[in-house]
Amino acid sequence: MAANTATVLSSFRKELLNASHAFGVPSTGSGRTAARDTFCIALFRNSSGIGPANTSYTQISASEVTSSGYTAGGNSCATTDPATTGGTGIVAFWTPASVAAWTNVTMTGSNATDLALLYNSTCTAKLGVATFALGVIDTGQAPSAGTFTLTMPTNDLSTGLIRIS
Amino acid sequence: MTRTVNTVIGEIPESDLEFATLETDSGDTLVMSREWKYKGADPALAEHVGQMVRRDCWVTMKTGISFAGSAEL
Repeated sequence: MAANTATVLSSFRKELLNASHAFGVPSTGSGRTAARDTFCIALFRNSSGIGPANTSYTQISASEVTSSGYTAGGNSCATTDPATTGGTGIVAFWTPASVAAWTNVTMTGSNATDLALLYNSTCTAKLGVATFALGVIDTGQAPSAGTFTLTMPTNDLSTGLIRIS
Repeated sequence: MTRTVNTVIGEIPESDLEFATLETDSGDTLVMSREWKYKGADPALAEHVGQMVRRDCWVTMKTGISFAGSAEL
């Protein structure tokens, strides 16, 4: 099987221009409903061939990890609003405050994970945003009847989870 | 009251377990794990002495992803 790739999904670039996502509350007068969407993070098995051409959670759900303690679709992200930095080289960035940990999960062997997908769970199409490499979780580190915790990066212009420059 | 820990062989008193940690820096992520092994004296669990009965894992994402630097089709 092909390796997974960490990337902003190509479709997300288009959907951003189509105003398909609301990471924060849309501005008054934008014509959008004044409510943010819910974003989730789901975990996928090693070497599932997931990459920039994929478009949604639904499209790749067959490659999602399975375990007691893990519900299909993953866990929702705690809400936060996007921010920008001023001056030269303006960067917009967004990082969820947290993602709930998965407890009593086993993700070993063929069920081991090395990729997380951020996707919009409010829209019926479950449109994807980006995939993130989880690093080397080899057989000696994969969760077994334990807790799997994903800690978000610092929410700023250089390390934020999603950055647009 | 004795604290118990959920493991593959059931709820085990924490005092009957020993753990070791392992840390792997993969660049953009830091993976830390804690592996629990059984060291108790319960005869019914004698076959599990020294075996890994639970492993926790923490993945710290050090940096996210930038539109400018991501892979393209």
